[in-house]
Amino acid sequence: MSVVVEHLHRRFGMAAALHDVALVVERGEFVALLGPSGSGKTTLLRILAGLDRADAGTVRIDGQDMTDVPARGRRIGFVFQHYALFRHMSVFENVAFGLRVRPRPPAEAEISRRVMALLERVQIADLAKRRPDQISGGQRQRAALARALAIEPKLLLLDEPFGALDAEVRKGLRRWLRDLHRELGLTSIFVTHDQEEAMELADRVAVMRAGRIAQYDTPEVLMESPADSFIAGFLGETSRLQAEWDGARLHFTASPLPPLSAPSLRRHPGRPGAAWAFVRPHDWAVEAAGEEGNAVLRARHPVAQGIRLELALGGEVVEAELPTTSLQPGDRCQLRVLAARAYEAG
Amino acid sequence: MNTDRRENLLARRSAILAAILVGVLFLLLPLLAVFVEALRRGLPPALEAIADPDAIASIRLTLLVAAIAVPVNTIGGVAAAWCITKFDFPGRGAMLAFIELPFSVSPVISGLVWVLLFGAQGWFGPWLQERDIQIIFALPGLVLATVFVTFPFVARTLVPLMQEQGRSAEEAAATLGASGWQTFLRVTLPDIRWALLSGVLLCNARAMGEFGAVSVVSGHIRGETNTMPLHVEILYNEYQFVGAFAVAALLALLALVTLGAKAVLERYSGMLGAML
Repeated sequence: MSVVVEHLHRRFGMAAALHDVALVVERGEFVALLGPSGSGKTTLLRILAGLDRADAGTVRIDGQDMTDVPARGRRIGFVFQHYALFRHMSVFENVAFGLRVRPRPPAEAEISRRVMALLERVQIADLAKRRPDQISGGQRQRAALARALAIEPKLLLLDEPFGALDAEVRKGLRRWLRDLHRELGLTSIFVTHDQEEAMELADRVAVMRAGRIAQYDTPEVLMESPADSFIAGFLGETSRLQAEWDGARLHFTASPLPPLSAPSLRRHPGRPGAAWAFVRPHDWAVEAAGEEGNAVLRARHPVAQGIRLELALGGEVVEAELPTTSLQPGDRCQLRVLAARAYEAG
Repeated sequence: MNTDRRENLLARRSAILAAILVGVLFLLLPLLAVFVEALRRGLPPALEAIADPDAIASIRLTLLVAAIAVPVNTIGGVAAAWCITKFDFPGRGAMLAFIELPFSVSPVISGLVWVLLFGAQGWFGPWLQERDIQIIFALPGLVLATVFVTFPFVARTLVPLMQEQGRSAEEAAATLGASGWQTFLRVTLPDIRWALLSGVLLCNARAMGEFGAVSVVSGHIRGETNTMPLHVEILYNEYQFVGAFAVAALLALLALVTLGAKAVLERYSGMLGAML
């Protein structure tokens, strides 16, 4: 099942929700639409499902133009952010719905067989008789997924699939969903504002900003070479510093840091001028120093890979990560940037 | 601190007392008076007044008018609430305000508009007269006036609930392949059934009790175009107090049964919902 989106535009009143969006999803791919709220990712998903219309542009699924195909004729599975389960129906009836509303519904025994198979697949067969308000959030998520899969969709769309779940449940469900996607050979697109989630699940991630797709690449490429300063700031926990690029060295204009030469930069601006430098937590060197140190440790807390430090550097607060350190809050230290990415400002 | 709390308690108690007092004085006492007056000379004269052919005719007419007006407004109200809450279209806000028009307009005007439209001197009067169709001073006029006055009850009960429920269940149904009609019957209707029933009962109570608008279009032809409220007025004006209050008591009883049914539904809707 391939999806090709071209020149898609959508306005809500005066505001452009989508502006000239293009997206290609190959058969079997798992794609994330990642972006801050209001970036247009949910609007794009709803247009794909036929729940919203585009002002201009085309959506083609397996080569077929979907413009005049209503949502109910698309056979696209949609999992809603808050699940949108039918509250007066049991879990079984929710999943059976897509089969019962067919012009020629299957026989009752066949419906029962297929619904129970789906519920077993999503591991909630024992909850078949419960109503949605009698099960937990994670179980509702699974029920909603089973309901969407019941129509044997060509394409599965998920709107913030883990948004309403707590961290523990979320982590487990994520892995489970990725496995399910592979096992069933689905083509899936999901919306999220959580970059970690996008990186962990997706084959490719479309980073959206203000109604446009800012970059569409694999997680590796996105992390290693973000296309612009917005993406670099949005991905990973980076510190952003004001700088100036003179063509050979990057000077930090607002922080008491020594300049960086081109070899220490993973990326440098195309032309000299004002720039933004992005530094990841493990790209800092932190050494204990006396009165002449350029930074002060504000706080420290342990993380999985070591110690996370919160440091006051000039007027800014930056975060660094070290395997271990004896520095205590209040101590002065000397900060150096080991590596950074720099983008033209603006 | 202690005196504060005592004052608070005092304030709360006097507020509750005032509410009870107002309730008894303005709601319970008049209702009680109706029944007391109806039975002042005992049960037989009251029953006799109700068995009077004109009274029977008015009861029949009232039930007939309600039997037409309530289904019409149930379908119209559900359709209006569905449109307003599940779709975006220009003039949606205006339509929402328009639904409440009958609540804000005096019932006399609600009756008068039909006379202006369909009366002998009205816009369509001559056209109707040529074809020998009687609307004003006949059943169609009574039904029109009642439909107009009671239209908001169903729609107003449903709109807030359906707004709160949102559209995602209907959207989910669409992605699963359901048609609009299937979605309405299988998804929307079960979600609103208790509110719908309660709206229908309120609509019914008002349809049976409406006086002002109906009075304007009725023409007060005894045994033909008098509904129960109009019949009560006529009897009262003729100093037939027992008869007037007996019919009034019956009307009040119908309203009380309706309200009682509504209260029971509201109380047990959760339980019934779980059973069904």
